[in-house]
Amino acid sequence: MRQILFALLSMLSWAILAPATLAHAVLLATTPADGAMLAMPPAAVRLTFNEAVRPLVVRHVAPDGTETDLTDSIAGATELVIPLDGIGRGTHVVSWRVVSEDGHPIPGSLLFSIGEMTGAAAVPAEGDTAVRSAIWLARAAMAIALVVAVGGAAFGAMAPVPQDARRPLIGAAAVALLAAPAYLGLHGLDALGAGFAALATPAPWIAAAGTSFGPSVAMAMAAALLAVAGLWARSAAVLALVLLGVSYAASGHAGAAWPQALTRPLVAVHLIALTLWIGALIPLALSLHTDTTGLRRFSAAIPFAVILLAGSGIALATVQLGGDVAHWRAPYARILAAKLVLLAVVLALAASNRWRLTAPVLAGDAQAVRRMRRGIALELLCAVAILGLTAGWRFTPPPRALAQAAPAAASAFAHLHSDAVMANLIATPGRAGPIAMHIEIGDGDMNPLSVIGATLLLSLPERGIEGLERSASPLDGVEGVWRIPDLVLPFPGTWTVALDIRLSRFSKTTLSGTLTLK
Amino acid sequence: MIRKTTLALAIAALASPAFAHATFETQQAKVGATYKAVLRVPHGCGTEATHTVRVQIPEGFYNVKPMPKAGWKLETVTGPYAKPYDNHGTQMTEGVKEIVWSEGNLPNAWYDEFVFRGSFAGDLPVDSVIYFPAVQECAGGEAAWIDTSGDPKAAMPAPGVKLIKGGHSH
Repeated sequence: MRQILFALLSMLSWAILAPATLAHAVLLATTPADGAMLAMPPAAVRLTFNEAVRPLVVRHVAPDGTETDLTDSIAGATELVIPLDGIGRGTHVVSWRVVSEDGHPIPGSLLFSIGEMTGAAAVPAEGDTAVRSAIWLARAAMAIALVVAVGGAAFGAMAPVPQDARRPLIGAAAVALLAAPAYLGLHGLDALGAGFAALATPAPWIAAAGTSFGPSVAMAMAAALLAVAGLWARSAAVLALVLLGVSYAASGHAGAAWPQALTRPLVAVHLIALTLWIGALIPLALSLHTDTTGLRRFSAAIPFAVILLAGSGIALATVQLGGDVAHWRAPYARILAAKLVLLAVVLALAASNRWRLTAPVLAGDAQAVRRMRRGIALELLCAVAILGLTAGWRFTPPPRALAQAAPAAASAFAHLHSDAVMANLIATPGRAGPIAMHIEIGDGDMNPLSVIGATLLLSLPERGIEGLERSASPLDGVEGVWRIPDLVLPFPGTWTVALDIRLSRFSKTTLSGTLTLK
Repeated sequence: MIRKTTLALAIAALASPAFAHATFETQQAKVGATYKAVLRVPHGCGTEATHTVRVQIPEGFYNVKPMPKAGWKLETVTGPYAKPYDNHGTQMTEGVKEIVWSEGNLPNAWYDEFVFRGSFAGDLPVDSVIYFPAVQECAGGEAAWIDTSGDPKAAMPAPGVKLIKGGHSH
């Protein structure tokens, strides 16, 4: 009886007092603070309200997207204690819907990170300049040494390798055997973003061995060892050559380009042809004054290698440059251009050797031998420079990759409007993770509008993430432009956004819409 | 006994429910009549103490006089009305547009009321809600009760008064 009467009278009072007096609990504080970056995971999250509340739904969303319903483990009180057991690194969201005495549900979300912000693939860091220089040096040394050692051994398949060429070839193999593992370790440092000191720990080695460079470097080292053996056994030299080609095809930009069934054999052919040609130069030059068999066979065989080299090179360059001319000015393309210029010099020297000097040398002209040796030395020098340049490709994504990456890194965009006020939201990058939010506020004709505050409320209904509230700060000197530089939206999907715009001290307007993150 | 308790509870519910929003004690007023506004401030900005309370006076509420408050500095901002209002035969063309109680101290744990009076113009539409946007200012922020959308789910609605059919009053 009493309850019924009370209920009726309460309803009556509601009817009279509605709508401005609908009351509900207010969230006063959270521990940890919203948006906090913590070193250690908290044992629990605490939400303090101004009055006792009862949880309707409390959910924890882990960095990997796993959702846990914690509703049953939480007792209603003024302070809700949400236990979180053994949560790991990354960005976590605790989302709730609680109800106070008036029965009005109050939603909210709390976002915090442990150790690092997550939500998207880590943006590759620029990396340490010293580490990058060392990587370049190791990669260039490895490439040059391998070409010299393996190519020199392969020359032995055409003609006897002169005695005095053996020492430099074995030396080159030794350099390759040192540079290859060094490159692997440095690659690991780069991948982990660590300094040189970390080379003493297993971490960078394990990290690098797990990438395509692991097997690639192992094959390159095997090729170097086989090249030494190849000085005595032809079959080992041939095997070294094939292994070197496969090693380079197994890693790097070009071998990763689509279609791999085409690009990988092209890379292998390119490497083998290059090695046959350039690697033959040292034993060739050293054999000129004693035995011209090498020169005869070389000049008969190498044009085919040059054709294969040029053909595979053109095909790979076409794939790597891609169709988007806008990206052809990228560092990758500049390295390619420099390489082509040097290649023209090498080809001119080779042509001079082939057509002007080969006949006199074969005829026993001592001066021609000297000139050809000088020509070969220059050719080798240019080839070394080309290999050095090519090692720089390690750091430059090819234009094809830039063109593919462009849409992923592009911004997400939302246009919100009422009759009198409009806003553009630009989220960069337009994917889950740390985001810079740029907000342009304008009047009905999108002329910049000067306002005194802007607050963004974001929720992700599909993941049950209730409103995250983030205030924007004005961009100095630009009317109507506001920013939230350190926004973290941990999950992709269609976020519901509400922009509260404080037009003046006593007036505001709210614009609503959606923002889709990849 | 039961009935008495029920009645008391109902009156309590009507008179001073424990509202978390800034609201007026009397939530309806007659068109063309004077109205005593008692603004109830239930809590601070989050957990912070309130040092300033500002109220904007809407067009149609004229001849406004705020009540001074011990421990608070009282100021008003005046300006021209959009149109003249008849006050006992006198044409009023300007008056209070904003009231500011400042330099006070209202901790989050305490409750206080801020009072002013004035008249609703006789030509205001019956059944409409007139809002008095109010802002609490604290050391590290504010609580802005300025949402005049009328949305019952609004997080921070402006205090409002519902206008009912008036007789003549004075």
